[in-house]
Amino acid sequence: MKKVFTRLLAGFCLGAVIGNLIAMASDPGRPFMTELFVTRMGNYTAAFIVHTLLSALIGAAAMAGMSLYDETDLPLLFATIVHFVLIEVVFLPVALFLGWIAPVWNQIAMMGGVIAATSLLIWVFMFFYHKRKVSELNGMRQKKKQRPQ
Amino acid sequence: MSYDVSVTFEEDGSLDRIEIHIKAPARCSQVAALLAKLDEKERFLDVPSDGGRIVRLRTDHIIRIFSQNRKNYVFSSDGTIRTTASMNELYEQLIHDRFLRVSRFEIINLDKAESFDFSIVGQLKIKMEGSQTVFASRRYIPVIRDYLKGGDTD
Repeated sequence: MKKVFTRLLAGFCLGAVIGNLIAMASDPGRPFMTELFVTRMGNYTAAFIVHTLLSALIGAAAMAGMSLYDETDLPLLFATIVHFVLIEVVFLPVALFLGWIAPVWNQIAMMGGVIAATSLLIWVFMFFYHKRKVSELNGMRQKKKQRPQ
Repeated sequence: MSYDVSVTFEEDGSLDRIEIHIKAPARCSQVAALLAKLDEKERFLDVPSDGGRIVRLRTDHIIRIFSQNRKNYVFSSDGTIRTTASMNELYEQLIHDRFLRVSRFEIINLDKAESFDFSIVGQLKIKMEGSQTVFASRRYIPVIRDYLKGGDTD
């Protein structure tokens, strides 16, 4: 539980920083925020605070969700799917609200697809990592059988 | 790694019992095997069967102990026994360097594992003697690796 909380906190800080970097990159003329979001919030300070908190929420969900892989007994595939759903559920509404993506289906689908592709990459990497570790067990078992007791 | 074993006997008239001390660089599988040979608890498991009898099983014959439909079974090379004992009670009687509880429903004898695989779903698939297949969380991979290397699972 301590590990989950540490990750939650680290993700919160990381998300706040990365969220602002993304906003800066998406609208260089108006640092930290999209023009649309500042207009929606009424003033720059309120927009900055809400934007930072929501970005932090994404980071917290993504990082705390990593505990699904090593703190639970969920099979790898299910852990990846739950992590993916968790990020989608948090990220997409926040991205729409902050104006990172427009509320049109192709942009939502594209962003959802990027998260899905990232999740798939994580699964592939972790699957082959564990596959290799398990195949090492077979070699070790053979050696143990040959070892005099 | 296998160590040479040196056996010495020391007479001590002040003792009222037999003491056995084992000294080794680490509590490796060789040491575990020696301890098992000395320890009656490790060699036999008393299993209360559902018929009311106590069945004494050699632990090195036990392949797995599992729970199915809220009933517990001990599967060994001598056959399968349905037991009234709980998984916890059975596990407490076993020495844990060879027997590993891989889930709430399963205790396996690591010496009876024939091969390991990683399933597409992402679980450790263990083929046991007697054509038995057991699924365990991938979190047990390092524990099994330690045992096969010669360390303990405790």
